[in-house]
Amino acid sequence: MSPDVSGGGRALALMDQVLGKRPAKDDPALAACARELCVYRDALILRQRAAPTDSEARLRLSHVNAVLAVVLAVQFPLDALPWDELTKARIWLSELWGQETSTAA
Amino acid sequence: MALWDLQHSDCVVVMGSNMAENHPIGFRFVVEAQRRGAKLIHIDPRFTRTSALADIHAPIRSGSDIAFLGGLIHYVIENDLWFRDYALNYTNLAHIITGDYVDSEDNEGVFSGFDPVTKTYDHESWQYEGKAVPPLTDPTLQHPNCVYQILKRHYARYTPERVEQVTGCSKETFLKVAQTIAEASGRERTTAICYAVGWTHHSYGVQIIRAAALFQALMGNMGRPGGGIMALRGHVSIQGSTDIPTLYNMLPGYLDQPDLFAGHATIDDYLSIKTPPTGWWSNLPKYVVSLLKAWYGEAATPDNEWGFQFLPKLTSDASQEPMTLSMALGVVKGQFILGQNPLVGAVNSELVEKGLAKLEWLVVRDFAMTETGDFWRNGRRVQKGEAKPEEIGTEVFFLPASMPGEKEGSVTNTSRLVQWHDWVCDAPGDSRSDLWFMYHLGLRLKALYADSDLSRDRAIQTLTWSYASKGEHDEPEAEEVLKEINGWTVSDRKQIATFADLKADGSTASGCWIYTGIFPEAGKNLARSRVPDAPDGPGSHAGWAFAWPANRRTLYNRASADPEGKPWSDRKKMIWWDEDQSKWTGLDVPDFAADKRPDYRPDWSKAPRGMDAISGAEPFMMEATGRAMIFTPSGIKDGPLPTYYEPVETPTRNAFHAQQANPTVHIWDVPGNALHPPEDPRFPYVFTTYRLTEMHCGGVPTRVMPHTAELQPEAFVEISPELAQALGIKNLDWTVLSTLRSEIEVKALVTERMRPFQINGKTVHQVGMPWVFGWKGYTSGAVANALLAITGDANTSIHTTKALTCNVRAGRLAINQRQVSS
Repeated sequence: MSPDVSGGGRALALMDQVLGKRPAKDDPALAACARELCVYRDALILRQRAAPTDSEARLRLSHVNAVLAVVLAVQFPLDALPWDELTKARIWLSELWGQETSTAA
Repeated sequence: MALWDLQHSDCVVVMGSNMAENHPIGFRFVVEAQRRGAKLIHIDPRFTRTSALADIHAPIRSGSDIAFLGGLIHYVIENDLWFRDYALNYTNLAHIITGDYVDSEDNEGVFSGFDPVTKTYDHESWQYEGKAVPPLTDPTLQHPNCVYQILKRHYARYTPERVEQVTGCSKETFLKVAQTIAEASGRERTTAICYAVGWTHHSYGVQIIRAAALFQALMGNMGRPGGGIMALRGHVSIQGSTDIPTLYNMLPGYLDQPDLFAGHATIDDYLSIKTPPTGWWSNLPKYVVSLLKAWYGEAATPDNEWGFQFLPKLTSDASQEPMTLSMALGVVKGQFILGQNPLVGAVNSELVEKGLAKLEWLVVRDFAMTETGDFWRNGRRVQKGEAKPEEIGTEVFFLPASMPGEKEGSVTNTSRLVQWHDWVCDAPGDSRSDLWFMYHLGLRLKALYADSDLSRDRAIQTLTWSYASKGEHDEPEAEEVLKEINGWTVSDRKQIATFADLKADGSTASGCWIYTGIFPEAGKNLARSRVPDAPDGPGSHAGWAFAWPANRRTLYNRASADPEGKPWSDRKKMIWWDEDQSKWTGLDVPDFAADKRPDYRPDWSKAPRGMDAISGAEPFMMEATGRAMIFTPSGIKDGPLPTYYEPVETPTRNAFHAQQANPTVHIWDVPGNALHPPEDPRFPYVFTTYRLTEMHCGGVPTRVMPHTAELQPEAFVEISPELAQALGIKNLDWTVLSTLRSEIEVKALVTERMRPFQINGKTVHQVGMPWVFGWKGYTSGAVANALLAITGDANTSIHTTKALTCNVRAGRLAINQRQVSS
């Protein structure tokens, strides 16, 4: 059975919600987004472990980790909230999710 | 200052610490100072053994420290008791701040530059006028925007009456404290202030310490014999673990970890942003490049930015509080716990427990099983039926650790004194030293990643990791590590004697620049040295171990001499300018450019840089201006001057301004971490936590030893007789303490050590509880930190443990909610 990657789609929707209202720090949508990204990441980890030489799976895992890092940067900022970076991370996640859905199709 | 220098103090103020009980070795120097005629003042909510030995005990409500310290600042300004010749010359009192600056006193407790959405400050309006170098000054102190005038206005309302209203300390006692300190400061006398986590564990902890530093600089009590601020670091080697940091945001030697979102993408960017043009820190590139050479050896070259890209870059706050919250979200997969017991020592222990239960693996290294290692079997949530061991997926590895006598290495104490200790005997069974564990873990990781072609694995592949080892277990030679920390010249591996010899061209390597000199030549480990001064010696005991930097015992000791280089007084001499030898000399290693004349002045027409921009009469050379910062234009996240805020939870309103709490405090509103609003009638009592003499660290080391366990047989909450009577509680009765985070039961110790306070016209009761109990060992008790919330100081993200609120009632918890020892 292939891993359930649906967390990626939910994370994308939550990220849109976050970008729409630009909350200060610890908004519940941010925490939910991080949680769903972790679910998605867990699925990618399972996929990568099942096929260690699959470079595409490895690349997607790297990218979702990068997206997660930016979400955490907004949730637990060191200084000013990095909205521009989150917008870029949203593009990455959107591309990742597009690949997932096209692969599934 | 050195701990033993406390004996030269004319007054010792202990605040935010129960020094007699928790730092008894250092406290003997306070007792010696008293024997020589010094006064001891203890400012603390409880009457403890420190109070019992003090000349004055000034009780204050937990968390009201800045009101008290602000009152001291107000008192010495209004009565003109500050050390004018010192402060005018050695601080930024005369510097002029930009006209855009708006003080919190004129804006209901918020400084200019505040963004209410992000709850952060832009520091632009806190800068010196025109950002001039050197800053514009008014030595007459009349300019309305000079630091002195701003300071005077800022603390104008911190009157003795207001101090009494906010802290609960009587006006008479406050004035007695203020007069005593003022009389014990100046040319002929010095006062020292000692603090511990009673100051740091607040939502404005950095600002409490700033207030003390500001006051000491005003009073001329910095860099002088018996003067200063003694940060009483905790047990073991807490000082060492910030020097060679276990903190996420620092590299060894107090270098900042690169931050990607702060523009530190390349080493050039990082150095250009972080290196000030003037002052000692202009040497930063030498320390950074030498560190990278120590870590990555031949793989660190000019072509790859000396390996700068091997360093992880920060993107977010990764301190303990966000890490705990991230664990519960599933972000963190595994965790190593060494020398910690967060199930007891971290706040909101049930959230910590939830986080641990989300990990895939957990490694706990200790010499006895801790509550943290046992969370999956006997944790609070398991005991209460909220979690089942069979449903917790975390794989827990408990690895036995060696005791101090079973390994060699160094301990850095509160005076920056690095002392070596030798191996005495082997540890039993599979117990190994932490050094052994880290070394062999590193070897295995290097083997695991040896064939990787991913660039991110280069950091592990290139890491220098070749230390000689010995014995049947391949124990690494600890001195080999110390040699690397000290540093060497790359070409011949010759030990470097001083950090002045470090270079930014890749020719030197040093694992921590401030430790350079500790191993200055082959076979010479100065941390081993044990030669005290004779009774008629200088008293700096330079032959006893090694104090960083440069084996110097008192930082900024150039300030012990006047601007002309003469000691302020014969009684308080330490460092002075020797005209015949054309150098600084004295009883300690001078903390200044050794041959810089007192009358040296920078030629600003030539735009001097580095130490050339620091005059011979500016002792605080780590600051870009060479002066102590009364007002901080940048570097502090929550304001250029300490101002009074109520704790994040409090039974009263802020009497100074509408802004109730520190507006920049980190608050995480997640389920299980709710805060009590101000004056919440459900939680009317101030709650504070503390250690016990008889319990070490998180308690396990002493709770598992019968002879120490029996000295503190069970947990307790200290309650004043007045509150006990009001609640119908007798001594040794069971009580239930509750917050929105949790409920615990504990026996009452009804004692006059706790007293009610009159705050803002109302009676406020405070209760206190040791946080060192858990369910492991011969003696057990409720985990106090279960009651606390996860919050963070804006500068350090440190949690608040010293001033929150709770409810107290007589009785016990339901049987299935009680904690059972195991």
